[in-house]
This record gives sequence, structure tokens and C-alpha cells, in this order.
Amino acid sequence: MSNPTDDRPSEGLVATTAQPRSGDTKNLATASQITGAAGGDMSLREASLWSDAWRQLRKNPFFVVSALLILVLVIIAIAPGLFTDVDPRKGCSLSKSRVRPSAEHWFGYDFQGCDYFARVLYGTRNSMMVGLLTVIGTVVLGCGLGMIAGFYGGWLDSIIARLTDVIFGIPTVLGAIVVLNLFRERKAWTVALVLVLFGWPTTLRLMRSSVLSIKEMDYVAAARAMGASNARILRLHILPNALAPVIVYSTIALGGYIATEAALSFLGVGLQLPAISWGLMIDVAQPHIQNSPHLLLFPGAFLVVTVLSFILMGDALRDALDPKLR
Amino acid sequence: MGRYVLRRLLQVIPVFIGATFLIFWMVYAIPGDPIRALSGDRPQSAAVMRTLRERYNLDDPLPVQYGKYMGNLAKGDFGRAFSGREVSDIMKQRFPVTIRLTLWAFLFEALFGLIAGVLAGLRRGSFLDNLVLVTTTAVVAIPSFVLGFVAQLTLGLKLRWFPIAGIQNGTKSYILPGLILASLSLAFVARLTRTSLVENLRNDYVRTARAKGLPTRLVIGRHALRNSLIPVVTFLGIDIGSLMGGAIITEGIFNLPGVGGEVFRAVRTQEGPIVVGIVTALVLVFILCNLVVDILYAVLDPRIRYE
Repeated sequence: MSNPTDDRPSEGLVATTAQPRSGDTKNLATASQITGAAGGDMSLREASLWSDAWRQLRKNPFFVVSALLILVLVIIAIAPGLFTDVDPRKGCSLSKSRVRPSAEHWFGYDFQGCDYFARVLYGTRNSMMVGLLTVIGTVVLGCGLGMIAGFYGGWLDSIIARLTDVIFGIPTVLGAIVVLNLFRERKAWTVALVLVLFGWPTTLRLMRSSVLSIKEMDYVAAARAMGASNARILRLHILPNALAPVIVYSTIALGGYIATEAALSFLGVGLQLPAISWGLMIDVAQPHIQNSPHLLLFPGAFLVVTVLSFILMGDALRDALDPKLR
Repeated sequence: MGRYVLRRLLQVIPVFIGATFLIFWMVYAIPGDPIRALSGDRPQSAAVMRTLRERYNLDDPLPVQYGKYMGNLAKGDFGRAFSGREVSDIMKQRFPVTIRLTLWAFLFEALFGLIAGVLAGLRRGSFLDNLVLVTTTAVVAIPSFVLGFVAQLTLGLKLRWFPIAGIQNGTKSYILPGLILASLSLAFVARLTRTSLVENLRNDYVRTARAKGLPTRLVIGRHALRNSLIPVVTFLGIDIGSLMGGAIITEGIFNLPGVGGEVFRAVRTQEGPIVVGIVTALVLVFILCNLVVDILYAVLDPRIRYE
């Protein structure tokens, strides 16, 4: 059996569909009760936690709105050129410095006289990259170590617990400033790396506590009785069932990481010019806040909408994935 | 209880050593020679450099440097900055500002967070409840530095209610920064209080209290609220440390001369002793807060002690 931490993403998907077979009768029962109560069609065979959650999510307006917003932001991040013909680095002219928004140039011009609309759009990519990379890092590291700590326990658990305690002992912003200062050149992945360093313990603790309760379940005992190896139990039975809280937390945290990146860039230890980043734009805007508030408001608004979308989506996911909270 | 406290105290030691060593290592791992950087482009005499390197133990291997530093720290000596000034002297000058800011933020967080949370939790589904939910979501989504600028722009520049920078106006200078620093935690406190209260109001003991004819005031005040506040108190306690760490951004926005600004300046100019000194002090505050909260938790909820 291969190492459970190696091929998680694909296995997670496979395991998700295979979940009802794992004998999680509790989830099956609640799911069928809900479909029955809602008068939904009973022909749907596959009533796993995830398919049930998906059915509920589609009806949640907050989920739909936040998903659409995130989709638009992702498209902007991948191909900002679809929305503007202006190259954010070219055609700048100091004579247009800080010109206010107009019908032709919706967001006006920045300090250097560049088109602000294009710059704000192109800034989406760095924010999304940092958020996404950080979440991937914390989930892989946190879930991997969390499963090991929760499932095997013993001295491994103790070592990992002390390690998380140490990281928790350092205030994140302060630690991030010190570590980021070690790098001469800071790109999106550098910032993400440092945020992972201070972010993974939370994911780990979530995963560990889920695994601790799930490994006592009957279906895990059943799997073991049938001769399943530890790796197989972890992969097919524990991981898919323990993932829900991590997904909810990571979605909300993704917004938080984007905000932290902006704050660090604003402080001058995040991304560096000539990178285009909302945090850097806000930093440049600060001295001109009185005469040119648009320099602050547009990147600020994009930042807020992005963070808000992920928070709303996380809330909707929690409502759908954790029936206890309803 | 005694055993629990003792065990918890012993756990603090490796965490403190680990966290401070991590910071120490990262601060001194910066490529480049801080002593050479002192004089900028001008050449330095070899003798001066040697003396300085010796004074700051820079030629020792890192664990030895760390050990010497901790030995001095145990005697209450935070060392000297490269400028020759006592680090404890700098901290004495800077910490009062940060502590004042943190206390104001803590006050706002506890007061407004609890009031909003209790009001929302008692009338679940009401207009007020929804208002609290919407406001807290918005506050969580707006990064504190954006919120800080908007507050500066509107409350400071347009309405002229508050000064927008510095500490010349006494107490008044701390209100706006305090609110901004508190905003995120305030939203969390409000939500936590609400959820916890709603959950407790559903419990059997609340129904029993009502059934035996207690007035609502006592049912809520003496039964439901007391139990609901346990997680809130823990959150508040842990948050003191985070507030002090997060003050660095607020201090930057409002130009307050606290430790945040000093740490930031020292990180950029590679003044290791100042960074290590202040961060060590903050880590200590952080860890002590967690310790006090854990012990408080065991006092409030006896089940914890027997795990």
C-alpha cells in the first residue's frame, strides 16, 4: 500500500464517492431523512454527505453569490486581459498622475499615471496565488501530520503537539515579518511559504481531533476486522470523513490569507514592486488618502469583496456539511 | 487541580525555549554582517569590529549565542542594541504605548462583543440578530488596515472627531486605533457569545430552571449566561497576546510609537538584539496568557482537569 500522504487529492475524490459503501450509517440515515423531508426525488441512490451537501448548497443564495464572485475573480486572475485592453505597466504618463475616475477610465489613474482599473484587475492574480498556495500547503501539511498524530498517537503525537505549540507561541504577523525579512526577493510563493509555516498548526489540530473521534467509529473497526491495512483505513475511511471541518476552515482561511498578504505587502515585507498587488497599491495610496481617496478605495474594495466571498462560501459549506449546526 | 497546574507549567518551558530559539535563529540567520552594516559604506577598523563581535557573541555558534542570551535574560538583562543602548531601556519607552493600545482594544472587544453577542443570542432570528450577523461578517471581511484607513478618512479627516495619528491627544488618540485593533476580535467575540448562548438556552437545565419558576432574569443571568461565557472568556484571554502581536499594523497606520514600529524598524535595519528582545517579551506575554487561560478554564469547567 502506498503512503497515504502521497496521492491524496485523487484518492480523496474517489473516496468521496465510495463513502456510502464504507458503512457510515449515521450519515446515510440523516441524508435520506433530509431528502425525504424535503420531498426530493427518492430515486437518488447516492445520498452521501457530499451529495446531500451539494443539493443544499445549490439552494443557498449566499453560496451561489459567493461562488459566482469567486469564479469571476478566478477568471480575472487567470486572464485579466479579457476585461481590459490596457497593459497595466505601459502607457503610464506622469501628467495623468492621480487623475480622478472618469467614464473612460473607471478607476482613474494611479500615482505614476497608469490606468488604475487595469492595475487593480492585474493585482487579482497575486492575491489569489498567495491564498491558494497557502491553503494547499496548510492542507497537505496539516492533514498529513494531523492524520498521523491522531491515528497513531504515542510519541509521534507528542512531538507534533509540541511543535504546534511552539509555532502557536509566536504571534503570526510578528513571526511573518521576521521570516520574510530573510528573503531578498519575495514572490507570491515566498509569502505563501511563510504563511504556511505559521498556518499549518490550526489545520493539523482540526484534522487531529476529527481523526481521533472517527477512528473509534464502528465502520473503522469493521474495516479492520476485514483485514484492511492502516494505510487503506486512513485513505478510504478516515480521510474522506474527517475532511469536512478542514474544508470549511480552509475556505474561510483562504480569505484570511489574502488579507494577510495584503497587510504584509502594505507593511513592506510582502510582495515587492514592480509586482502588482492590492496591498502595495494601498501602501502607495496611504499618503494621498486625503486628495485621492480612489487610490485606496478601489484596491480596498476588491480586497474586501474577495475576502468576503471566501468567508460566505465557508459559512455556507459549514451549514451544508455540519447538520448539527443547523 | 495542583497536578494539572504543575503539568501545564512544565509544558510551558519547552514551548518558550522552542519559540524563542526559532525567533533567535531566524533573526541571526539573515545573510550579511550586522556589525559591518552599522557603519554603512565607510570602512571600519578591524579592532572595533572584533570588539563588537565579541561583545555580542557573534563569533560563537548559534546555540551557544542563544544559551548566553537566555542566561542573561534569566537575570533580567535583555542585552544592548548595537547602538549601545540597553534594549530594556527601549522597551520601557515603547511598551507603555502598546500596552495602553492593547488594553483599550481589549476593553472595546469585551464590552461591545459581549453586548452584541448576548443581545443577538437572546433574540435569535430577530432584526438585531441579523444586524449583528451582517456587521460581524463585514468586519471580518474588511482587513484591519483598510478599515483603519477608512476610519481615518471619515471619522478623522472628514468629521474631525478623532486625531488620526500620534499620541499627543492623550486618551483620545487611543480610541480610534483601539477600535480598529479590536474590530476583528470583537466580531469573533460577538459571534462566539451568540452561538454559545443559543446552544445553552436549548439545554435541559435551562428548561428546568424555567420550570421551577425562576424569573427570566435569573434563568439567563445565573444559569445560561454563566455557562455560555466559558468559551468567550478563554477566547478573550488568548486574544490579549494576539492583540499585542497584531498591534504592529495598527501602530503603523496611526503612527503610534509602540513596540510594533520599533520591531519593524529593527527588523529592516538588522538590529538583532532589539528584535529578539521585543519578540521574546511578546512571546512570553503570549504564552503566559495561554497558561492563565488554561488554568482559568480548569477552574471554570471542572471536567477539564480529569482528562
